[in-house]
Amino acid sequence: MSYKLIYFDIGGRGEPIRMIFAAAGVEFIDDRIKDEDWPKIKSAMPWEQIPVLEIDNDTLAQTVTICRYLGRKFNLVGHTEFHAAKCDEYVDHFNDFFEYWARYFYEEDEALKVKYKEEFLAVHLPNCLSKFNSLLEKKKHKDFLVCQELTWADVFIATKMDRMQKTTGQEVLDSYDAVKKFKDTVFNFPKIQEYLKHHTVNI
Amino acid sequence: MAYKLTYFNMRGRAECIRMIFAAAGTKYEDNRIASEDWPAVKASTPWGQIPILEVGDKTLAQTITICRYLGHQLKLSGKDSWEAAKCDEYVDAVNDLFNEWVKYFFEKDPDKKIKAHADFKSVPLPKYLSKFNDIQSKVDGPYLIGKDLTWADIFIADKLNRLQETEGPDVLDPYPNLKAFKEAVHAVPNIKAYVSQRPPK
Repeated sequence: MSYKLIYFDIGGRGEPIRMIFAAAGVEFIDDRIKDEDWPKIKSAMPWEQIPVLEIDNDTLAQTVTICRYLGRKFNLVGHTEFHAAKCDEYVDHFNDFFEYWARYFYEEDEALKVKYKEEFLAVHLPNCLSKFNSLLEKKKHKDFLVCQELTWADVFIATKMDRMQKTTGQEVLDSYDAVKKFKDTVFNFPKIQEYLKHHTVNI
Repeated sequence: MAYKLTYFNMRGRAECIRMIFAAAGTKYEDNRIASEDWPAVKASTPWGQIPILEVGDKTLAQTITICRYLGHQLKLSGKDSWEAAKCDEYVDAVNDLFNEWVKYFFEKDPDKKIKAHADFKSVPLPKYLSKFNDIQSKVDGPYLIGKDLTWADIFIADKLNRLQETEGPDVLDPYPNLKAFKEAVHAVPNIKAYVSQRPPK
C-alpha cells in the first residue's frame, strides 16, 4: 500500500493528515507542491482542491474524509462504532468553530480583520474551548477525547490547536487547563515526538 | 436499539436523518420540538445545537456524524471501507457546494444577495453539479458510489431536492445523470412512502 499526500508546502489543511501518518508510524510520500505549479495541478484534482491522497492507483479527496479513512486503516478510531462516531462528532464541531478562526486569519480588510478577531477571542473561542474543557474534565478515561487510546480525532484537533497557538498567540489555550494538557499529551505521544524530531509543524 | 431524534418541527438539517431511517425501515422516535421549548432543550445538548440522536442512553451530535453512524449501523455505507470513504468524500463535496449556497441565500443586503446569487450560479453550482454528473455517469447503476443505496446517496439527493426548491425545478436539467440519480433515490419504495406522507416543510 503506497500513500502519497498532495498539498502545498505549508501546514494548513495538510498538517493533520501528516500528523496522523506520524501517529501511526506509517511512511508516505509528502508531495509538497509549489504555488506556481498549482494552476496546472488544480484541474487534475477531483474537486480542484487539495489535499488529495493517492492510495496505490486510487484517489481520495476532502481533508476530513482522508483523516477518517486513515484513522480507520491505522486503528486510531477507538474500540466501537460509537467511539468512531464520537471521533466524527468532535472533529465536526471543532471544524465548525475553526471557520471563525479562518474568517479572521484570512481577512484582508484591516478593519474587518480586527472586528472578526475580537469576536473570535470574545465569543467563539471561549464557547468552543469551554465545552471541550468540560468534556475532558468529566471523562472517566485517561488523556484523550474519546477513549484511553489516541484517535485520529485527538491528532486532528491537537494539530489545529497548535496552529491557533502559533498564529493567534501561545496563550490562547491557557485559560483551559484540561484542553492545554490534552494538546500537550497528544504532541508528547511517542510516535509524534519521533516525527517532530525531523519535521516542523508549520502553520 | 432505541433511537430518538430531536430537532425542530421542520425538515431542515434533520430531514436526511429521517430519510435514512425510512430507507432502512427502522423505527425511531421523531422528537419535534417547538421553538419556545428550544432554550430549555439547548442547554441539555452537547454543543447547544440540534439535531441530536439519542442511542439508548448515549447521545450523538452533528448532522453528518449522525447520518454516517446510522449509515454504518443500518448497512447503508457501501460494501467496504473504500466505498465508505467515497460516501464521506462526496458528502463533504456537496457540503462545500452548500457552504457557497448559504453565502447567497442568507445574505441580508438585497443588492449583495443578487450579486452573490449570480456568482453562485456561475461558478460553484455548475462546477459541483457537472462533477457529480460525471461521477454518476461512470457508476454501474443509478447511485453515486456502488450498486447499492448508501446514506451518502440519500443525503445528496435530499440536498439536490433543496436546490430545486430554491433554484427552480429545472436546475438539474443540464445534468441528466444527476437528475436521474435524484429521482432514483426518491423512487426507492421506503423513501417514496415516507416522502408521500411527511409534513409539508
